[in-house]
Amino acid sequence: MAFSKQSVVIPLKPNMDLSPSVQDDGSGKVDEVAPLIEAVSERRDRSAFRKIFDDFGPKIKAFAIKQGMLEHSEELVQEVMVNIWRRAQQFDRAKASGSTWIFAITRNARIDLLRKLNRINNETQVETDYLWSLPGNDDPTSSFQQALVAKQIRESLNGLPIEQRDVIAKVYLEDKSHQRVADELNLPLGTVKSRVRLALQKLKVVFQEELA
Amino acid sequence: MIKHHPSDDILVEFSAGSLPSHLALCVSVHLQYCSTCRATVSRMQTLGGELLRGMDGVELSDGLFDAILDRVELSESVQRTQVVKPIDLLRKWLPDGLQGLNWRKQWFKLSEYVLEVPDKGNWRFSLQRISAGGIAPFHGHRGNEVTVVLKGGFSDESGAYDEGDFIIKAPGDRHKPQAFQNEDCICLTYLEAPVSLAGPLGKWIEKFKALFGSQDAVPSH
Repeated sequence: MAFSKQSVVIPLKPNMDLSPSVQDDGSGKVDEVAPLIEAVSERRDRSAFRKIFDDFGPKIKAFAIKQGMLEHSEELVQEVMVNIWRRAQQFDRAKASGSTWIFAITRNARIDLLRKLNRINNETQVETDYLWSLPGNDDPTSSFQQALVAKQIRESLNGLPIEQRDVIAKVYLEDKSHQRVADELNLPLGTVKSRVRLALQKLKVVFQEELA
Repeated sequence: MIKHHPSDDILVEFSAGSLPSHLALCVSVHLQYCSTCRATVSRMQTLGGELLRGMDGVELSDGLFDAILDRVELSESVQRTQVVKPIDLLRKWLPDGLQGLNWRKQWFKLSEYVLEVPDKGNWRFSLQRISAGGIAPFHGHRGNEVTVVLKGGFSDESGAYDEGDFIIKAPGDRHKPQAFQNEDCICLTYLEAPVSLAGPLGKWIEKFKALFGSQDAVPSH
């Protein structure tokens, strides 16, 4: 990929003295959410927290409603915001963009809420955050690169044919399995899967046939 | 070298959080071994983030932000939450790893250690061990069977599987796994429904089981 080799930002360690701000490598310009999360982490900055709330709160509520959780939608917003505050120190630009991190927290909070409401069957006892996390230590990508990947996905989303965008949105935002999306749209399962696949390829989220 | 991965469909559902939890756990265990899938899931989550960010918002109630501030202030005064690190997803059941487990023999060279079974329902989440060189009975599947190789490896009619490999057998698939010769093979297995034995002897046993209505007894621990 055509990224210049950037020096990698040292990830924040928990409990260390956080007075100096994260080095600015330019990723803050591409990912304007990241500095807000860092301000919450470093300074317990309430105005930054408020900005995150103003920006993402209404979207998280919309997300909850799409999932059929209308009566619990603001409860989900609360849970997500509280988790953002509590876990801000775990945020690491080199691992995820700001909105990716908030998405992961939202997804996990949604699962926890459903568990609490007893709406999930066949539940394992393993905690959600263990289950849906990215384990392991990979080569640190630069935060600039993470931000660029996010930006590139954002821009190519707009160019996606409507039927592909629809299917992707349903799978991601409405918590629907491929099978349920197929039932709902009255399409064969194979069609839904191939639309998702085409979309993922166009967005460069997956690459052409990898070796099976 | 990991050669067998979850399909992109499964990784998408994993990233979106819609996968049933045991299947998600199997995927998580595979991710601990597989940097390729970790990178894919990372991009899939980035897509999730962008989709969330692109949504049209719905107006929030007045006072919601203050309620949130009250809660964070309360938690601030109690304690900082510990950073949760996903070290070993199976530690809840296997505090000492794979050492010293009380295996239950199922077939000549095949034993099982149950991790979780439901009060109601048929699924089964367990470790399966085939002794070095041993062959598990030829069997078919009534539901999906998800397997992640934790130690050693095995082969069957469709390929060879090493540590970290992720395999799904669909209902109707039949196979006869054989452990590699040099060491025992231990797999994490999630069965949606009980397996059915195949082959002449197996069919005879299945008939026998049906006749006496025997359900596999589950050891308690």
